[in-house]
Amino acid sequence: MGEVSPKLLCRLGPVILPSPILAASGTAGYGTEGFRYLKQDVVGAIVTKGLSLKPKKGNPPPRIAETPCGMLNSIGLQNIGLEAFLKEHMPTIRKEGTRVVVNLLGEREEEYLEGVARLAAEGDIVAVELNVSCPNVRKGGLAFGKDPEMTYRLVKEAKSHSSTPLWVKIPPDGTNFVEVAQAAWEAGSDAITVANTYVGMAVDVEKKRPKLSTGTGGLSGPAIRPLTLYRVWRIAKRAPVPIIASGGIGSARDALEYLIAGASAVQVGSASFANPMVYLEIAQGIEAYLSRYGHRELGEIVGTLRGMPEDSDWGGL
Amino acid sequence: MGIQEAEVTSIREVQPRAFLLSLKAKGISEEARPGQFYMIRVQGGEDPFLPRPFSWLRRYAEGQDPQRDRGDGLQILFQVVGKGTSRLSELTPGRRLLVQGPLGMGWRWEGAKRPVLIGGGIGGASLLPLLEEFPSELKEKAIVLLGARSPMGLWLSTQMRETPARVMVAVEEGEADFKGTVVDLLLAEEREITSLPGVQLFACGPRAMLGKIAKAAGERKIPCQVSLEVSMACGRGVCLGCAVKVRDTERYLMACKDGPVFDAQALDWSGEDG
Repeated sequence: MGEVSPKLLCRLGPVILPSPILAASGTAGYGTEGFRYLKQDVVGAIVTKGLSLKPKKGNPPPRIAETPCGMLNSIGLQNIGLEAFLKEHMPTIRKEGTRVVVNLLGEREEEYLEGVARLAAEGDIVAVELNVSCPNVRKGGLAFGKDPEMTYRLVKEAKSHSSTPLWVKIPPDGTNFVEVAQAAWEAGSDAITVANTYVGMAVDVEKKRPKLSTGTGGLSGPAIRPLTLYRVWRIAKRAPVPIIASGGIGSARDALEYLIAGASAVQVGSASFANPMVYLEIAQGIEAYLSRYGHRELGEIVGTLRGMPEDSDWGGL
Repeated sequence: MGIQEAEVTSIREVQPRAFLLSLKAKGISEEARPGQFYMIRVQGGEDPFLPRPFSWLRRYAEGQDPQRDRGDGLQILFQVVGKGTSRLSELTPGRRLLVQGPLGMGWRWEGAKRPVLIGGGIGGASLLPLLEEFPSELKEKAIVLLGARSPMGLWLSTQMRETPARVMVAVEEGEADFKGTVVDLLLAEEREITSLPGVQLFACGPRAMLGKIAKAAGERKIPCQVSLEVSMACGRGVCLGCAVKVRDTERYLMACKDGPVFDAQALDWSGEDG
């Protein structure tokens, strides 16, 4: 069940994974809680729940609301903290041979840098994924990843603190997402994860209140797939580094859309809630697709999108 | 815990808008404990997007006595409340559903001497396996209180009455021995129920009802467990979406992993009365 075709071998700069299908942050715990096949080659790597230096309690309930073809969440970055992760989960991760990418959070530049340095000392983390959707407390809460300059500085510093491969997971909300991604690769990010959830809201009309305790939350699920696909395509056609797509992927067809549009790997997130077998189904579907078209390896389909007119950046308006 | 494509063997409406769904679920039904739940995906998983948590009603096997034998099947009782349950109610035998479970922490009844089971509406479903799990002398001492809006909503009471337990019902509208809510019934029967020595409450139903029962139990220092109905996304502790407020303000508990059954006094019921 865990066997995957060598055709699915996935290269993300310095990182080589047996499969291009990753478990997205926040949907597979800390890498030790999953179903058995998560630890096999079907899943290229598990991205941990976002970790901060100190534990975070998270937001009051209700934290989730289902929406058409998707869901809103406002978990509030609840996590056990980096040290507890290293102490409680890393031994199991090592023993089971799970490939783990650590998603790292911070409210200040120093927090990210301390985290990056701490993880570099571990030596066997596949990559660190900087979650730059967090608000920068010094900049009045503006997310690091909505400002190309802040992104550049953070990534540049982080790279100088660590030799662990570094990815940046950018938020999709800003209109300057291409500039933010460019700042990340120019500062040395080894790959870019496009993207995070979209800020959204839902209202309980009987109570005239928001459905989430925090009023707004992050939208995920098939509802966002066309939006993120557009962002992946815009970024991938310019990026000199691999793009990891994350947004509403629940089937091989969805993953293939992203690969053809230029992504080198995909992250599967909230689709795994209803179907924990989804990673395996996607791997088998991609493998069948490669065979059907006579491709010898995954790389042969990445960025093969044809027929996009020159002026399609702006939605054909 | 396991996952499988379970085949629907039958589905029928047992009372208005409430359906009894039977699934072939060998491998994931045998170990289910009363009060645990299953996550069921509705259709393809795009719309509705999230799976739905359902407590199980019975484990059964064809040709066997469902009350005695642990078989290869599962029964789920659900009320149509929205898009997901509406789609589920339209299923036909032969269809397959992706089912994960059993999940969560169920009822803890070891050492119970005089259990009182209190169910509001379809919420009483998770109490039937609890009652059926009791040894016969405990079944005889058990008291079941079930509440429904109308006499039409009392299918569960017919199932409970197949045991030796004493079953009482409360109905809000229409003809009934007791008119009112199940909480009204509990308080009206104070002398017969809550003042008995060794009494222990097991309650499941709407949140407002549970809040009132928790309060009554707290005032009388009666042990009380409640099973919460909370929206969930993953059902297995990874998404942290089903946080529950507890008296210990340092942290949240997760309904899917720490519950859905909780000690009523551990929970923070503020703002949950209506």
